[in-house]
Amino acid sequence: MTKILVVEDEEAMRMLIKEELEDEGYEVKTVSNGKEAIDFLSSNDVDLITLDIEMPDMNGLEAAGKIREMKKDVKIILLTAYSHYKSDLSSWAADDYVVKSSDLSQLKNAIKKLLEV
Amino acid sequence: MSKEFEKNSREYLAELGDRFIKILSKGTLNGMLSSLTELIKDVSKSEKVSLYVYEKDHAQLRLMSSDTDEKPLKIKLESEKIEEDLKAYLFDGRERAIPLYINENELVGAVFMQGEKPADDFLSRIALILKACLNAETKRAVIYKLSTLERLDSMLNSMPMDFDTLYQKVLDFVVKILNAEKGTIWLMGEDEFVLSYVNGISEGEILRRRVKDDHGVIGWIVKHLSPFLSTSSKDDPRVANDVFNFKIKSTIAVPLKQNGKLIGVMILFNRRNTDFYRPYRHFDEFDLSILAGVANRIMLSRSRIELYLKLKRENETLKRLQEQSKEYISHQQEQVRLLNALQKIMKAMKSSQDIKNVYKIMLIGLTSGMGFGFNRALFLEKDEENKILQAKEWLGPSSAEEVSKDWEAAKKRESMYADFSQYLREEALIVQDDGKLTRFAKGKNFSYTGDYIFDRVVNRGKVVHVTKILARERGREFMDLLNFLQVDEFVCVPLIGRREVYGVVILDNKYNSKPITDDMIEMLKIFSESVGLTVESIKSYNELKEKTANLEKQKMVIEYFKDFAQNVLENLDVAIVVVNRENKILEWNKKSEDLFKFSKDRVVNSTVNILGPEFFDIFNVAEKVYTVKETITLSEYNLKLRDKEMFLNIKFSPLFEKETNVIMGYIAMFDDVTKEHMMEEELRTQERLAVLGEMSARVAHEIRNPLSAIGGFAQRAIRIAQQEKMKKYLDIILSETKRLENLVNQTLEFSRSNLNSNFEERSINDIINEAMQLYLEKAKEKSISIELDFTAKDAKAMVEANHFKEVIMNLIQNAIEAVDEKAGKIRIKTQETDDDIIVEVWNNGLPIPPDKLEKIFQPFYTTKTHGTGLGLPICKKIIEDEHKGKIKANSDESGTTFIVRIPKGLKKVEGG
Repeated sequence: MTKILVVEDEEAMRMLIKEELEDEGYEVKTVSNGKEAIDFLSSNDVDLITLDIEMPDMNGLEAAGKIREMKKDVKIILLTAYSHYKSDLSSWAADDYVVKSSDLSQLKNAIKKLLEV
Repeated sequence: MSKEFEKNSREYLAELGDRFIKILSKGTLNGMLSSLTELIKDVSKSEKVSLYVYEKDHAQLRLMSSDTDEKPLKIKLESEKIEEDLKAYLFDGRERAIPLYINENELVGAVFMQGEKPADDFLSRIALILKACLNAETKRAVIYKLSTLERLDSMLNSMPMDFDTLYQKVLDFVVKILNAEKGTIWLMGEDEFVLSYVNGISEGEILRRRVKDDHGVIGWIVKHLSPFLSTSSKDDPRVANDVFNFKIKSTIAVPLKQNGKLIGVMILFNRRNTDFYRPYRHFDEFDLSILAGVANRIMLSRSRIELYLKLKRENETLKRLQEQSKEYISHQQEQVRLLNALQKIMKAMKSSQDIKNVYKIMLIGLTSGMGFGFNRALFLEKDEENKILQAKEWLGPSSAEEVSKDWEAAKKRESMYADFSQYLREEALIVQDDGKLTRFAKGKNFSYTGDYIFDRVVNRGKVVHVTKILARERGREFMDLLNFLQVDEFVCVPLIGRREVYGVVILDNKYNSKPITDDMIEMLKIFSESVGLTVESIKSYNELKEKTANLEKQKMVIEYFKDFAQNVLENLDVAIVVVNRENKILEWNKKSEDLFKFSKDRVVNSTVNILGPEFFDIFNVAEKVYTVKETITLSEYNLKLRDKEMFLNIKFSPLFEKETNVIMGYIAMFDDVTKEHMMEEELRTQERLAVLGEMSARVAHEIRNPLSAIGGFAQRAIRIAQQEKMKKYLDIILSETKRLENLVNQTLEFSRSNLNSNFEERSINDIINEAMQLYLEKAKEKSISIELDFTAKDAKAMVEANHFKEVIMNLIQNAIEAVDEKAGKIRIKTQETDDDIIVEVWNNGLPIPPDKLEKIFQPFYTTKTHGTGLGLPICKKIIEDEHKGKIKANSDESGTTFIVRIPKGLKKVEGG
């Protein structure tokens, strides 16, 4: 079963994403910030990580960089409330970029796309 | 009568005829009557015969010839019968007196004889002969008298016209022709008669030369005023004997009357014994008549002489007057000539502006023959500081040898000019500055204070005439000057200006020694003052001219600055209006014309009211400068003029008059800051928007998470909802959440920076096609036709493709929303120029009103009931800020067109 780690500081959003992805048949683990994500990943493996960019302490971009050092093959999707990071995606350690929305179909599509490869 | 006589009467008669012829042929009456007496004696055998002739005028008989002395000279005929009168004179009984008649009634005379009475026939013949003799004599006497008087007349005519000659000559003449021994003329003096002329009287014979007017003959004539005759003056009480000591036998005298007034008496004494003329020893009436005639003639001549003398005197007076007037006239003429010359000299001087030339003209005028005619003229200039006169110029021949040559040449030149002043002007140009005399004189100084001559000339302004006498008597006092001039007569003329003497001219006639007349001195006095003033005025004119030239120069500079200022004023980007105290507009520069659309011609010299009520407030404020006296400023004053809004920075500066510090008006400066104002406004808006964007981004970010959660759960809830109503409510929550999310997205879109622009060269037509694909379905639903017109087939440009596509999508979206559902039309057209690509998106929807059209690019402005109002502002931002292009909208009845114009190559990519 495909394992996805959701890194989200807002609880409602974290819960929504977890339930939606579980509905899609994924095994979903959640943490509320970058630090917790790194701690979790040091003892667990996942297939894919959704990473909110705007987070306190360690933001998504910084966290993605560190995660990439630890888990070379893990897929990382950045989630953001902003829409203007898109063009700089290549320089980042993430694999994709999705703007947050109530409609999570975009996210689901992006996950599917990454896991199919 | 004797028998013998009778007997022989026939022979006798013949003899008598011969004798009668002999008698009548006698030359004189004396001779005739003596012969006649002899004849009577012969015929009558009488021893003593006396013959009388009848003088009808005096009714008397006058004795003409007698053999005795006893018979009276005259016999007055007083009675009716002559015989009775004659009886008284009969000598004795033997003697008889026979009157002689012609034709028995005409008495011609009488004869006294003894013896027998001759025959009547004889007596009548004697009477006839007597008459013939008398006639002859009368005729002769008359002729004599006439010829005598004629002679006198011719003598008088040829006589010199003086009284002495007249009186003396006439006296001599009359004494001679009347056979007088002596003659005198007495002329009336003041209260007595003076013996004035004498003839035949020696000094020794004169006892007295003056007599009273009641003395002797003179007294008689004074009393009677008629001729006087005295035949026996010895016993005549009328004749005085205390005047002369010669024996006076007979006297004739006539008054000398002129115009009825007695002026003298002519008296002749003693008839000379001579055969000639009269047989009598005494003067008679005839002599007197001649004398009277002569007297008349004397008086006539005297009158004539008097008249002549009077005429002569008058003539002489006239002549003298004429001479005098001639002299006077020529004198006047000369004065006039000199005055004219002076005037011409001054005219010539005035026409010249070079002061040196002016002096030269003056000197030429003084030496020219047409001018004052002096031989030499020396000009000395006063040096006030050193109290000296400096010789400047000396005109005239330098030596006697040059005189004729110089003068002839000058005269020749003079004669070529009709106008003296013209001659002077041109001659002044010919005359050398350094003639011999001038060279000689240059450097010569005379100190004038205390100088015998110059003190008077310079300090008192007198014309000083140094005459030969003055030079001789007082020459020692001005030896220096005399030695310098080498003349003994000259005149020093001061040149008198308004205040003082500034120069002296010395004039002389060294070569022709012509005396300097008083008239000339008088003229020179006039010259002194008038020429002096002329020169001074020329000097001041020159100074004035110099000053004027300076002023001109200054004026030019001022003009330059004025022009410069005017230029500046005109070209200034600020409207300048100058208004005077009467609210009149004095200045209105070009910018004012441009800004307010009033031409300068229209407003200058009108009051500010002409500008209309829109300006009232402005000029009300302006007038405060008069009280505030400082510049007043209005910032960004909003003026609405002819529906156009403008913002002006206005300054009112008081215009002070320099000297008085009075405010004459003010200068209003209008700086059009409409553009700046708009830009600022825009900037402010943008700043506001930037802040808003920032805020929105923050807010959006904070909102997005909860919104996403709400929306997400709502969706989840819909899936598990059992009740229809629940499902419907959750749908509403979901759609509202999506609206909010949309707003957040657009807000974030608008406020994002360009940091992430990714420019690449793309086909514009491709991008349009991509964008259009997204709306094809929607258009189809609404039966809207979308027409593509790609005029620019391969139009490529450097674009931020996603952003540019967003713009196109936005425009298509708007177009779809704008058109009616049926017959809706959209046309997308591309064109290109060398540099740009133009995309037009047209729709045939209802037109956008102009006031709204202006605002559609402003953020949050929307004509639609839905939408964020950020679509077009974002398009504008992308096209204009990011792509450096232009976006605008046109709208009218035919539809609405959005036109996007972007450069093919990026003009300038800022900030990557």
